[in-house]
Amino acid sequence: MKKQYEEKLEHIISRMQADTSVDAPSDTLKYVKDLFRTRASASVPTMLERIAAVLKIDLEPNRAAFGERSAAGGAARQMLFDSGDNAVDLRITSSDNVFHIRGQILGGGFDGAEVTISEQTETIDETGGFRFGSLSSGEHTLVVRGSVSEIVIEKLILS
Amino acid sequence: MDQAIDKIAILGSRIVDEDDAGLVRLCVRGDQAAWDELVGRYQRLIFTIPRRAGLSDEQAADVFQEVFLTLVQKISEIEQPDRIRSWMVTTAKFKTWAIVRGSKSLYSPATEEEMDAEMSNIRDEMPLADNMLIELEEQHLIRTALLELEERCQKILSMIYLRDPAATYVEVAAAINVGETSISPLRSRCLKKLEKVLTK
Repeated sequence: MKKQYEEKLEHIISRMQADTSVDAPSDTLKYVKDLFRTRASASVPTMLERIAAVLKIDLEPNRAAFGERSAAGGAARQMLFDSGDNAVDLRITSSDNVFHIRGQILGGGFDGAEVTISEQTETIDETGGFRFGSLSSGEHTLVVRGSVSEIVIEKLILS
Repeated sequence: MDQAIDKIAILGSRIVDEDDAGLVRLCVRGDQAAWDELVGRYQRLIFTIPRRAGLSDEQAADVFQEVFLTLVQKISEIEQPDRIRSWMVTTAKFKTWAIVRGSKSLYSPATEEEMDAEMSNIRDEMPLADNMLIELEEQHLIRTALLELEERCQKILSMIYLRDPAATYVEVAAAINVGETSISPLRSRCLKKLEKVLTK
């Protein structure tokens, strides 16, 4: 019995000593906490068919969060737009001034919706995800067309 | 003013004392403090899974965000809130694998069954073998249990077992302001308390 207990303690100690885990980067933590804040504070549903999305979070790649000494974030620019019942998460990467967008519609009501930007149109997948490649720099408008309403992100500047 | 501070302290401890299932239920009701606690409780574990699979810090951060993004979306559909740890670990494992095998798809299986089916199609599971995940989960449980101990025990055990290099008894004694000969029995008592928290 005593031996079993000692073995258990030894096991706990060995696990503690082998623990090499580190905290997630502070800007990443801030992002996921703000993500919930944005969703929890969604406004009352509107009767308007065309809903303008509002930029809530814009994280530049490798930019330190306010008050941080260094950045350890991802290579993609991350933007979160709030549109009432829904939110649109965008991750933008670029190479040689050509831009790629990976996005996701959060919240319901947009099953099978089409997303359009600069004459490119994609149908969102079962998780609300979509992708665009080969976008030029400059100002764009991104539109998510659902069956009863559409979300519009205006003045999306890729630079 | 003091009353306000007391109220904040009470609300704070209410959240910290919640078990995982309680936190999930509060999150479903839109409780930001519960979400912050859930993120804080699991951030190390979820960030460590992709890192231990060999992904870069940037890729690990990407997996981390996708896990919590998926959780925000599906939190009201979680059927077994008490199994949220298992759900998050499986989701992190799946999303890690999506990157490991070169597909950065945002595909998120709707159910655990779908996820298991997708996982079974993956041939080589070595970087995220089950025993490695068990070890990470155990370390998570120990870290969480450690936070339930009084501050002095946290300090003693952290200095001796979590610091690299480990603190000497002299250093621990100085840190908690007791004689060096007290450290060994204190260490044993703290380990016993930790074991008790882990088995409750």
